Amino acid sequence: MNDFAQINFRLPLHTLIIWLLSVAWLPTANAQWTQTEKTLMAWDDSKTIDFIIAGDDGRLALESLGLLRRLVNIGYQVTLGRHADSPVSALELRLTVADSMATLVLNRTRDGIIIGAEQRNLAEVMPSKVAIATNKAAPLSRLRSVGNYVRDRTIDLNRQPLRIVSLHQSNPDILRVALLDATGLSVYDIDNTYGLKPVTEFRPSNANLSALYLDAGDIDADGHAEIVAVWGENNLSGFDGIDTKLHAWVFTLDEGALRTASDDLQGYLRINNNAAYLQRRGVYQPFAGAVYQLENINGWFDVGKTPTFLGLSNIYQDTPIDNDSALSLDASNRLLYLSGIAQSQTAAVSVPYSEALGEITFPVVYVKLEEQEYLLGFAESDRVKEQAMPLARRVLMDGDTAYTQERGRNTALFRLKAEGADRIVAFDIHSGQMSEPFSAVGSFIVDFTLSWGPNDTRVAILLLNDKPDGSGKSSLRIQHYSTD
Amino acid sequence: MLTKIFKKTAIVTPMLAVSLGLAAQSNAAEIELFGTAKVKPTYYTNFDFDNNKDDGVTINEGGLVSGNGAHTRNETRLGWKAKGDDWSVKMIAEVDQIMTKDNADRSFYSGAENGEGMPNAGGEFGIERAEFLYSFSPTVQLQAGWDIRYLDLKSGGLLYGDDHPFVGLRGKSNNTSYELLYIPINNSIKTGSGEQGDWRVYSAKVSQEVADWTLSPILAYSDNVARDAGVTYFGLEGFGKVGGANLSFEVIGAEGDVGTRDLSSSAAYAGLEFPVNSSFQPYVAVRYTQGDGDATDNKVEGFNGITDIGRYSGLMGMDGNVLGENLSAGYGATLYAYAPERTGGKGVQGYGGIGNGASGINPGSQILAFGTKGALASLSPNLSYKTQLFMIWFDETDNLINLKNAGQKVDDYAGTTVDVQLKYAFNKNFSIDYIFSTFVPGDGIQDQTDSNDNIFVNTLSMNWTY
Repeated sequence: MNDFAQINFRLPLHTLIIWLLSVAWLPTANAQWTQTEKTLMAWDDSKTIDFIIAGDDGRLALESLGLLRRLVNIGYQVTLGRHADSPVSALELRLTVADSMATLVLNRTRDGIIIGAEQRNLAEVMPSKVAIATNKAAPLSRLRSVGNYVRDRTIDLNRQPLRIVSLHQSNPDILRVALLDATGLSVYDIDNTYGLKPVTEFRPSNANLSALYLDAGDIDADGHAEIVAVWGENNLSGFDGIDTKLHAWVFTLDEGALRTASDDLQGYLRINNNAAYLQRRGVYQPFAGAVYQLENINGWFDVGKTPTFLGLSNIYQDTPIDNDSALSLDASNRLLYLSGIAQSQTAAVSVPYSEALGEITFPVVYVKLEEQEYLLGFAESDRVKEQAMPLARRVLMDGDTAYTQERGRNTALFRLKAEGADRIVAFDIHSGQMSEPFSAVGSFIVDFTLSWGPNDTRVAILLLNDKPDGSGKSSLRIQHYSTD
Repeated sequence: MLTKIFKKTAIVTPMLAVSLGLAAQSNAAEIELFGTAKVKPTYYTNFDFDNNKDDGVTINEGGLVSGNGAHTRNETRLGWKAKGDDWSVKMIAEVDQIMTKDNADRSFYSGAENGEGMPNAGGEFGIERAEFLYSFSPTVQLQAGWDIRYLDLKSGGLLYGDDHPFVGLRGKSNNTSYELLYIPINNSIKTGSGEQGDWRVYSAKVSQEVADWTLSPILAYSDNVARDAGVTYFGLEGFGKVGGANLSFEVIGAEGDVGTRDLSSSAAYAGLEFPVNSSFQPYVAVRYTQGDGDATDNKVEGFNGITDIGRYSGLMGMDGNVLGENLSAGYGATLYAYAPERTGGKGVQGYGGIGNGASGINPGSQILAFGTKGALASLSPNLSYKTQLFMIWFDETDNLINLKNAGQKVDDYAGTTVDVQLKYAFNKNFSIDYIFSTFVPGDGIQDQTDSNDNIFVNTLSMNWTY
């Protein structure tokens, strides 16, 4: 059988295929990936594999071609890129070439568990320059790169937080994070041993709280980050349905202690580009009215009177970039790029930067229904009296890059067993180029934050959970971005 | 209520459609599973208002029970709903039974037949409710099935609220909505006339939102062949705000004929709720159904709705209070009804009501209600309560018989009911509530029964919802 006959060319990136063919004349001087190929030959499950390549080094093509041929020779059906309809037992093979170093990582698709990883210097065996075609302008295209798996770490948590932010502190060997759960706000340090050391905490006095949102940023330009935290109080005792009441505070972290720097602002809070914003709830709506910026009056924060946020309507769904553009999540969980907002919101140009990023279902705000639904019967306990409204996923701006989470993991039919992998994706806000700077994980990413690790490496700290609502076993996963 | 939603995928949808026996009309289908399981240990005391006599049987949603004693009712429902962009199919399977070995154990054996001679069938599930919808546009939605439909449930519940079969249309445009229903309540198969024993209802309701008010003209025609009665109901329902208070009201007129007699009657309700805070939301309400003052004349003046659904109505409703139970002796209100519609018997002047068993010469009622509800957060964050007191008068007593003082007119005052409900929600999926409810007979009931003992209802309800 012809080697290429078994390759399933479903990848829409035709340029990639052309690129591969265009370099096929090159001598097959590439060496074998001994360990990985040995593992693949011994693999006795489904012989299907998603082959993902990343990097802009011309030697990537040659390396890929040789590897593809050998994969086919040992009986694999190869798909270029990741595909939703791949069998659940399929493998994922990522080849990255950067700075003359080629990295090959093999993992199981359904849960992201890494089976093998190898690295090799290509400088001595292959030519360094090969003509390549790039697709920088295509907003839906995706570049994949690989994190440094060796240094990734997981820390088990004995609580069930739903939100995380990283906080700057002076010791470069320590990561500081704040975690928000139903009982309060806790600050921890993570040192080289990757244990959690409690720093301080805040406990609201209200009962029946759920964690909704957490953010941090230097909103008063004093060189120290403030924290904003939002909880929802869900009154289970109402005959008329649960109607979440918001509780929100601004905190400062002074000398290792959390101090409130606002009244209970009873709204949604968010920090974007070192400015804090607030939006209120509606009577029968999760969000109502305009978004206002918080004002600092002698170190105490309160709500400003002038609507801001580019006039956008949802404090979490929308993310202003500058005075004229923003990112916005639509109802289909796509990330859109809006431009021309300064002219008029209705005239703004909207460009999709992603395909559907999967459905995030928690945390939720309960909104009392104006018209109760008699779903099961007449009795009060038979009616649908409220609706659970999920908050939009975090979109985190970092320079010209926007980070957010992609929900690839799901609990499938009847929620008996979770499958698939979640991942952090990054978008170049100018080109729309999407990349995966960190590895996928076989858990639900409940929230994430970015920080700087030792040696100025970019670090993502993922808040993971066994269950999509954060009610299962919880952990932190620290991932390093190797190409920084 | 939390629902389990299985989102659409090209793979999952056909699997679900096949497994649930549904035709996959669209690859954008979404399936929900939901349900409740309620177990209600209950004790009834003196449903005949007489502590010295053995009570007969009464009936609740679980079936026949003793009017003086304990039973445990079980109401278990499993619902599923498939829906696409413009269609939906919902079905709810239910078993509602008094828990005994013969009901819970599905073995068939002799001697386990029920009071009607039916063999023991155990806790059989049946499709209690079904609703099928298709939207041609937001203004025109086709609806059919046998699900909850109502005309005035959210106000007084005087006219109609039930899960009878229906075919109809409904829709909404801006601030105006409408609903048209054809409700074939009874469709008997009998020799002779094809309509003999039938009961059909046609209804139309338009709701117009005006500022903080919603006003709804109501028109219904009850073609009650089984009772030889044709009744046109017409009225107005309204909701709105008066200052910080919530006002709800309805007025209903009934005109037509019952056999050779002319029917002319009316009913009304008004309620005013004053939400002070989350713990104290008092209300006051009046509920009126006209009574018949002369059973011998050619006029029928006792008001009967198509289904009096007071038990589940807006301010005054409580699922499990004594007035919403079946009270045959003395007061004559059947299950769900607050009005004494069965007093006088369906006889030749009966029409409408639950089971088509209401009397056209019933005494009617005037109820003055006070109540309040709210959260008891100061005691416990998940604890809530509702309590209410009804003062009940008969509207007319000339057709009632005085057993206590023979020959004298029965007193107007029927009695006082007191309901107290406490509910504790452990989470969104499980709660326990307790209802204490009593009916203190007034002279009007004492005259008719020659007894003066209270009725008591004690119900503990354990509720699982998902």
